[in-house]
Amino acid sequence: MSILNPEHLLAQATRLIEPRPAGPPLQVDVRRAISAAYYAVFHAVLTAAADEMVGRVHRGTPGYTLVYRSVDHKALRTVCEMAQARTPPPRYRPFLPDNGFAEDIRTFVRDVLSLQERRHAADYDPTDQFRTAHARQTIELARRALHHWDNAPRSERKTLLTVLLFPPR
Amino acid sequence: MLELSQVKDVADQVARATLTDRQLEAVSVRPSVDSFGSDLLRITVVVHGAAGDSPGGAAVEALEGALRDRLDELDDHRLAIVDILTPADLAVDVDSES
Repeated sequence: MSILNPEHLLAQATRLIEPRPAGPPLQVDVRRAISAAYYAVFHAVLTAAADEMVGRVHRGTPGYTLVYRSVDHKALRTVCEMAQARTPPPRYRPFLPDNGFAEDIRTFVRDVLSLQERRHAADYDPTDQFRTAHARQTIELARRALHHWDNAPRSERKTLLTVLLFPPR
Repeated sequence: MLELSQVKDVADQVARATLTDRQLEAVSVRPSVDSFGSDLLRITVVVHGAAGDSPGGAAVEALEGALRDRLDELDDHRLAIVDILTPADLAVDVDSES
């Protein structure tokens, strides 16, 4: 199995916005850079979810792929909105930390929501014009999101991944 | 939900309080729709500086966080996406690919 490495996606994004020998930056490069920055974080979450629930040693098994593929953008969006809400929906509350998520997870989910919409605009909105500065800020925002994720308490990461994979009903 | 002019005022205040090391030149707000059909705010903050001299992801993160807190206080829960650019960034030619 080949897991997409978030750092490689961010490096790819950075290469895409290097100055060209001549002419303005190509929209396709700037937009793909923004998209890759979001996907660095998205795949980091998918990997963390599958590692947590199935285990790193089982990468390459059908069960690992099943969990990895079970998360879509909307599910991630929903759980991020829940985690940043001042008052999460009641169905989530029994599973969350008593005082809510701490700062790293709260910042991480806010960054994810922002990255997701930046990627959506870059991939699908023909009316927007993206500058290199847009992509540079998006790449840096993705790096910060990954930093907050790594810094968050393991228990909180596990809680977020659990309600992502098994949304309470 | 706030009017766009109110959001612009809020964004202007929050940007001035957050980007203390930068001279603000303009703040603009436009309504948009997010990837799942909900209302979205696109906010562009223009700060003094040369091309490539716009603040980085840390400033964007800080401003989006402060703006989120302020909008929540005002009971406006729309997602707000902030770009911080310099006039020079905006003046750079873009390839239309059309």
